[in-house]
Amino acid sequence: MPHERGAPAAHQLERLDDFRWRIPRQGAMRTDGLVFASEALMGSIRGDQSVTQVANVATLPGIVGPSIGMPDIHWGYGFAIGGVAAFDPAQGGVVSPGGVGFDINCGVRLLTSDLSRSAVTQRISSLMDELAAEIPSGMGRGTRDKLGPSEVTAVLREGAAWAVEQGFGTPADLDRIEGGGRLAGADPRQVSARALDRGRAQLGTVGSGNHFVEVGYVSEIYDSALAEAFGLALDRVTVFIHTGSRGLGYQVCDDYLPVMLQAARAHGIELPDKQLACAPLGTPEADRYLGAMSAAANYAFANRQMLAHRVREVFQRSFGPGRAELRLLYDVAHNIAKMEEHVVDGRKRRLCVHRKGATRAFPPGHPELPPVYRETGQPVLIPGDMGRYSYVLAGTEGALRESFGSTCHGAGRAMSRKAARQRAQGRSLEREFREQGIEVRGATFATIAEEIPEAYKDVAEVVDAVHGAGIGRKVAQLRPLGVLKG
Amino acid sequence: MSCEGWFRVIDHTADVAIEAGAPDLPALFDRCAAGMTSLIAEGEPPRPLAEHPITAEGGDRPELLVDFLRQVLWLHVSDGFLYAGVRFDRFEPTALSGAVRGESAAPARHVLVREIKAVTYHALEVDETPGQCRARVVFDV
Repeated sequence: MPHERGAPAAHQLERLDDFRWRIPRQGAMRTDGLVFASEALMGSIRGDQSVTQVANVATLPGIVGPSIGMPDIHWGYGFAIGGVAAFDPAQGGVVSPGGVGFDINCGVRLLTSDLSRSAVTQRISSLMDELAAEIPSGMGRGTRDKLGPSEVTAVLREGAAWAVEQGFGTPADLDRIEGGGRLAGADPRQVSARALDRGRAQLGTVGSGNHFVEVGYVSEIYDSALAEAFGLALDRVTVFIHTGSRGLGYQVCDDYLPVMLQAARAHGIELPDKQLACAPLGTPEADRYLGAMSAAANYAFANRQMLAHRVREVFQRSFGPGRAELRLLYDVAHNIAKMEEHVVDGRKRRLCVHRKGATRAFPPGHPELPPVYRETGQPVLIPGDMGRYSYVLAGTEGALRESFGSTCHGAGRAMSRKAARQRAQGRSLEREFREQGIEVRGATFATIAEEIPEAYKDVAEVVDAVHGAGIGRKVAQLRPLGVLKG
Repeated sequence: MSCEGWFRVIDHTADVAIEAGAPDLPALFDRCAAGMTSLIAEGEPPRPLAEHPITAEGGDRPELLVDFLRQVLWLHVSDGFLYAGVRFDRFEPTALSGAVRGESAAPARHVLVREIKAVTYHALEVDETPGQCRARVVFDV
């Protein structure tokens, strides 16, 4: 059986400048593809099928502007990971669960503190032990208490606000979450019994795979004014939280893929790959999916809110009350579809913007930003691999103009999980990380082995490409001190 | 259900796939379910100790295979079920029903090595050539 993913990209790529590549419209494509990448990154992008996947998305009805790939783009299911596509309901545009991904509202939040790196380094081992004890992480790990059915429904409707009402964090946190931590279109009635069941015991858990809680510090500042406005100072300690909607979100995606396959057939939509299954916006199928997806997104916002609360509690206990305040810098989704207003061809239009492995990056002055970030632009959080560094960026006009207010989301895998495990075989990974000044806690050796730094591309190259292309502005670099892997 | 046929695991950068082959479609579906289970758990082969009714449907044969695997995966997610075999009472082009057999994962016998988030439709292939049916299924892990 032929295996298409090993083949080189069949689509033509025209280099436009140092950071832009055009995939000219051909065949069933309704629009061009546009990939943001440096020449070096394009080398690895060409090696998988992500360019073809960007071109495949360009065949879907009602797509507006180009089908976009970010510098961290890599092969995904149907849609590439690192893709952005906007669809116009007025032109038969669609919504596709595959354009959001299984982990609905997978995202990151960053907490900042006044703690110094040295104060935390001294007790990092016990701090990580406490975090590992307090925060459920790992394969299918759930919570001690199951939520009741009405509580799950409330979470799906209210998102992070539900968590705050229950005493997890403060109302001030809500301003610093994309969309206020609650998507208004959430409709829990569209979430299946299976999905609800999976959601009952997983709220406040990290999960497995590439999800993590990471204690780090600010290692470099590129834009001092923005860094100050974001509360980032050199050597100050930060905490990254990366997770999503857990089993509930996977189940929502899983439930709606067959529905969308049927809808695509009924509406005569030809799919180059079944994972691109979709329904025209405004149809009952599309409305149901958007209602369920928004509900799952709210679950993810609540999940990260609860995890942040647990982390805050551990810091308070470790460093003493009042000495370790953790402020929420921002919380962003990087797997989501949202209705947003964008100006296309000089005309304001309401579009369904899919971001799969891409981060919203709205510029200064954007009306959807809270007052605290109205002048700076939206904070954009880009986690790297567990051994090197992560970045904080700010949203730009360039992103709004060229990529529907979107930018990259992370490093992207360079090595399969199996290859990574083989590379890690026989090594003492915990000791290796400790020698680099990083305390790692993880559910299993396999989890840590699959996530070794060399399994990932260098996120610095990705961030330099979006900065160079003007679809994000570098603000600061963070380095890890301790990582709790799922 | 006999265990005629084979499966193998294919490892890629961001996902895992299985390829399977069998003399006929019911056996092919069985090998795909066994392949998926091999991704989830290592250790002793699951024993056919418990039986669960199963139904699946799809717009065509490949979609039917995905739906069958989704139902088996749900049994694992909800109950820790590990697949050992299947008996089909009905096996039509777009619908099937029957019962799957297996056991709940037990720490003494099985090591759960991977969480499968979902069975995907991506690059899905079912080749129905009589005597040598083959399939490829990609999983989100």
